[in-house]
Amino acid sequence: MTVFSDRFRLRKAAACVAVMVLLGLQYGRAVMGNDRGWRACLASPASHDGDEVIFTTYTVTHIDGPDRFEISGVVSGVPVEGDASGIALGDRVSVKGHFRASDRVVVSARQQVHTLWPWKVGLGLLGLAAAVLAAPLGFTIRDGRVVERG
Amino acid sequence: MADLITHACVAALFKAATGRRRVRTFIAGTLLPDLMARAPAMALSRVNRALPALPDELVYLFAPLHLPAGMLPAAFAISLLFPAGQRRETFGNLLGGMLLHLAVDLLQTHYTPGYRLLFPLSDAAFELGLIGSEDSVRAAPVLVLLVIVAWWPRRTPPAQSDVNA
Repeated sequence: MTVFSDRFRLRKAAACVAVMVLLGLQYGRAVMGNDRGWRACLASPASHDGDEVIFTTYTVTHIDGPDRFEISGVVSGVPVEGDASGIALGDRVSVKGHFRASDRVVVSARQQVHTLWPWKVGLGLLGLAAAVLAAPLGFTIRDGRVVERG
Repeated sequence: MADLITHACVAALFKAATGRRRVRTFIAGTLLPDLMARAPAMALSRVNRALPALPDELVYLFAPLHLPAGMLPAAFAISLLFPAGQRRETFGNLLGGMLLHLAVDLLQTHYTPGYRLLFPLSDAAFELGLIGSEDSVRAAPVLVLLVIVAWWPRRTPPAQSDVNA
């Protein structure tokens, strides 16, 4: 018997799914339990004053002035103090800065506007559509099993 | 992450260079990390914003499927859908495609430290920082052309005996 045999196939599949779920839960716990980042800053502002915070490919949801805007991603409504020129509502930006506890804002030290983001999403969707359309051409079902054609 | 077109092209070029068996399975493997991990995370992120009552952990549930620790059981679970006689080769190609995906993503640079390659053993993150996260958009058209050239059907010259016949 090898690990690739049909023996206990369903049990092996269930074990894999269980491992993947446990890894996912562990990852979420590690991220959420991490005493760093925006959530930790809001939970205990005074003890996190000056902490570095990073937001990757967040959406600009408000522009409140030339040096103030708000971004949303996994967490919503993060106020940022930084250069808002060249930023439009709906743009994707990455921001690296530090937390200022007095008014609970992120003071941007570096920021990048992802101008090619819509193209990247477009290519992703195109790839997804191509994969969905090509799947029946590349694979078939025979005797209840997936088989690569050719 | 690079886009799916770029990942598929890199996989097709890799297979053109290293042997042309199980190309479709290998390409499927290279697409799966984003389909299994990124797509649900993006969707759940939107859901989470609309329904704040949902636990935030949910957004990260699929993240390990973009890392070696999650790729291993995912590739094995999917290989179980294939006939037993082809399963080992299928698993190898799926996992190979997934690792190639990660290798391409590791070339990028982000503000974050990178990918937690050793999760759950370590939280240390890593990336090479050689290209921008959107450079794949510029590379994709070139890669598509290279794939067409690499996979264009070649005419094999007729054997001498056929010519003389």
